[in-house]
Amino acid sequence: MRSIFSFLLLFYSLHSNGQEQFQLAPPLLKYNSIFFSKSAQINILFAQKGTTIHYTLDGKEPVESSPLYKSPLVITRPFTIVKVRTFGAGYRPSETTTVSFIKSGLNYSIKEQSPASDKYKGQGLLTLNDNKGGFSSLGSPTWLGYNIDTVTYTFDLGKKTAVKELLFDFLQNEGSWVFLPEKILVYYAESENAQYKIFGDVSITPTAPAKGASCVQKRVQSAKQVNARSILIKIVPVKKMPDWHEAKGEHSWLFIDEIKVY
Amino acid sequence: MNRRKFLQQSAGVAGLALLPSILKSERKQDVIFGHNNKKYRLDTKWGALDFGRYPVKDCHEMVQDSKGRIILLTNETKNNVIIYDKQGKLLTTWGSEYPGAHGLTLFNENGQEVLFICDNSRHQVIKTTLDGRVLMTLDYPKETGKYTKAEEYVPTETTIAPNGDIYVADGYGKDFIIQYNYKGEYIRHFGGRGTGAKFVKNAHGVCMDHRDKNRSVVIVTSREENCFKRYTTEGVYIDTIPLPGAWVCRPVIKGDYLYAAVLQSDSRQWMQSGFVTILDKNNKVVSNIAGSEPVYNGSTPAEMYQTVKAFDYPHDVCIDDEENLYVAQWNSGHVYPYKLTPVV
Repeated sequence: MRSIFSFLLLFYSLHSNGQEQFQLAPPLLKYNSIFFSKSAQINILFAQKGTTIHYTLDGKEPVESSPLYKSPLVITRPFTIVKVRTFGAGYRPSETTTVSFIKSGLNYSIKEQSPASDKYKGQGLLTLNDNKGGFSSLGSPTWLGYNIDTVTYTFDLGKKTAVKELLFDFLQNEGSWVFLPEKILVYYAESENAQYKIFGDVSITPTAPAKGASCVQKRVQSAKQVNARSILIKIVPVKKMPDWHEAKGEHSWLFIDEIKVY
Repeated sequence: MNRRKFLQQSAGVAGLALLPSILKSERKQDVIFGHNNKKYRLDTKWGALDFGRYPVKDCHEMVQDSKGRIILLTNETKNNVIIYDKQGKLLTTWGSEYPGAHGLTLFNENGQEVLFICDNSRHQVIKTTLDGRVLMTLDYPKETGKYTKAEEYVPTETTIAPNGDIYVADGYGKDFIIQYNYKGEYIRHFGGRGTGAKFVKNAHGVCMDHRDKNRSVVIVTSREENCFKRYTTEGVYIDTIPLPGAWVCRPVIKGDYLYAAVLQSDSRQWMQSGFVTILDKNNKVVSNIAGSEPVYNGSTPAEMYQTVKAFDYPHDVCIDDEENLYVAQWNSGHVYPYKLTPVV
């Protein structure tokens, strides 16, 4: 009998204007930058009647019992992962939108910087440590865009300073030819004239194409804290886009908006 | 056949694989899309056909003819034109020579209805009868002095003035609007790219607007700028209708309202974040179908975005004589057009 009942339901559902259960879209997130010195504020909008926004700040997937968003969130913790999702009766909950908020690190000045492409030159030498960025739009003026083989930066910390970690913010948008790099290599020197020594490196294994565009943070840590005056960074972009890409074999683009030194 | 036997047989045809969706449907509710006086129910199955026989690639645009038929243009050369009745029944198909079929406009030329097809791949605009006989072909507009070869010209849309003037939007080429007389003789061009309000970025659509009885204007889409721009019929820039967040396709005017498919939300690009927007005769957004409720603080709406994932990439909307909406989609998994019925 159950199958007959189910069939009747199917019959009904196919003949009631073809209505289906739809999924909600994620909400609209508004913030000045994902980088901050004291605090960051995030406004979350979702103008759809009968729905609610729920969020977490602990990295867990939001569920309906997670905190309800009522007013702008103020972030002060150094590295905070904000996860947001919409819920509503009659709809499937949205996918989760994740944004990481990142506090400033050490001050540094840039001694050398590979020139970015004319079209994506950000704010020049001010780009990498200005606390501005974290927008997945290709057109955001916060990005430095490169299509060269190696991107090199040299930072001067001003004085010998304890360093244990670097954080990089990249854009991933393979549909627009923007890939994460293959490798990041970091070196340090204890004084202005000292030889560079290896600080650490990270290799990034290309994954299946991500959907749309997102900001992705990568970290390079040293085995132990070092005392550094200068930091040399070499970033190796993907030189040949993989077979699944419509422009396979072509040189990818690398987009970076910020490097933090901790 | 008794009722039980009928049910058993039919259930066999439906197949057990459908059972999970049946259980899910127990919780479904009657979803109403849109806002204010423009609310709709959605039927995603309206245009579905046997894909093996009548395939589609991108469903680019749709128009309704005076017989009430709904005409769909797709870049699938097995059947570039698919003609439905309003119930979604297939009436006929034609066309195999439009690999880049993109823009479709219907014009009543002294009692005879004709179609204007923009072909991205052929770099041409083709005027045909309703059954596909070619009446005129417009090549790339050398006369403008702006083009050196056909490839630079990628027309996306046309609109026809009451006197027969043809306006072509080169939306994937150089973003000019090229105006011809009814014979296809060049008159002028305007728009194009540049810095300043009179220029456009991705002139994806163009449409004559006769809603103001005292003055007809030409509305041009500037899709990457998320707005429409209004020009006189002689191509002089008037003003901009900002639509923050909305990658609007062509404007479609029916009665006092302007309808447009929104390819995607600016905030979630290339993530199937489209919706449909409706503006009143003052060009104020009154409803977003599967999009955010319109909010105004002054003359510009607050940023708009998809709220319900009912569409992937809507590319055009057609409004029939009974105020039903049909939505054709680009790059959305070969999906056939959807129909929206007004909720009164």
